[in-house]
Amino acid sequence: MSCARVCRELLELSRFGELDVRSAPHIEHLVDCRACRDVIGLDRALVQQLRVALQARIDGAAPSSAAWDGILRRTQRPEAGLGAWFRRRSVLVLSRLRTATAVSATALAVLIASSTQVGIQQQHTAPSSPRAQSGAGERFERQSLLTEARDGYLRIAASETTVAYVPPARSTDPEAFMIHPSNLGLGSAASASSSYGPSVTAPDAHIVVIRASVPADQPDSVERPAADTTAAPWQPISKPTGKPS
Amino acid sequence: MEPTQPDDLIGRMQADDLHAFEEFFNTYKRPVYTTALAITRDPFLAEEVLQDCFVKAYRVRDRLQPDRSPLPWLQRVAINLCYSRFSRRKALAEPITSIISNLVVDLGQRPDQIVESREILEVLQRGIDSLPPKQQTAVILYYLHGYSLAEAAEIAECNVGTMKSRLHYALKALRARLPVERRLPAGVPLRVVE
Repeated sequence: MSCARVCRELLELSRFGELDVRSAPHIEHLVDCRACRDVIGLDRALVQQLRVALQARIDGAAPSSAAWDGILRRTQRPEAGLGAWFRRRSVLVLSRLRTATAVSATALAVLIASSTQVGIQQQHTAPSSPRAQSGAGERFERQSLLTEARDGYLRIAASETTVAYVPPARSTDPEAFMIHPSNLGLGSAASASSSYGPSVTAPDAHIVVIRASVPADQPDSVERPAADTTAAPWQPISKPTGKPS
Repeated sequence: MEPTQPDDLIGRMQADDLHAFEEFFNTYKRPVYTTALAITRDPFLAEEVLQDCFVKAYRVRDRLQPDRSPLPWLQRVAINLCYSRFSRRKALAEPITSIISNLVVDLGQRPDQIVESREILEVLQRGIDSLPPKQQTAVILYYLHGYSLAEAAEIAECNVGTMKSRLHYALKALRARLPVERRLPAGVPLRVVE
């Protein structure tokens, strides 16, 4: 360690009474270094003199007996002046602000709660549902694909897996290409359905959505997904009203 | 260093018990007054500060916490009152730095003579006066009242590291104001390392 560094550290240690067994190297240095001894000695002497100087400022000083009388007199009379007016006003304003803040926060919470509920209802009923965004950044109407699906089949399998079939995507229907696990919020695993094109599975949600292409001139002709017929019989789901957007 | 707070003193004060307030005043008047006096060096001004401080304490007694010592708060109020009064009077006062410079030059002209301890103390007194308020507060709290670093930091509303730093710079400034060649009254001849 350099002399300057030891000296600096020693100054701090000695000033704040932090010298202990870990300071042994510093002390050893001090034994051998006259310059550091002088610096530390001067600092200690300065602190000692400083204490004396400070003590000299207050030696024998005490507040007069009239101090309490003055305080008592002032505390018994009402506050006057602009400062007192501001203090009174600030207390009043602060108390009102507290009430207003509490009321506003409650109102905001109620508003948020009610808005959230409306949003959920819209997800199931409203034709113009909230827009969602796919992983690739495409925006689409999420609900229209599910609620306004055309003819399809619903099957309850032995393992209680619900399978929804959304067949009649025409090649001109842009939304048909947006069926994706992330878009549907169903999960990430996708199992291929070889006969019916890309499919989307959601093991946790027990839903499989399969997209199949049908001829554009026969939008209502839906074929049964032959690939899955061995598991359980398919049942048609009711045809929703309205047209896909 | 801190006076013992009688049980439920603040609670009784908050119940408008004037005797409790008098007890409160008697308990804490000395540390508050000495702080004010150490800063102002004027007994009348210090007493004014003392009165203002306790009047304020009485008016905001509902906000005092019964389970905590009010002394740090009282000290803080007293320090702020002192410096707010100083700032109003500053324009009238002679610049302290020039006084110190003159004194140091005067002492420096007699390097071979032993400097009287009274003169050294006077240099230090003026040096303390010339310190920036934050360093001056740190010196008074730590070296005069003997508060620990943590207590002094709480009163000054800073952290312990900052308090150490303020003390370091205060001592550095005071050392710089001492004459180059002199003997400190402790009886130990010392050299000033520039």
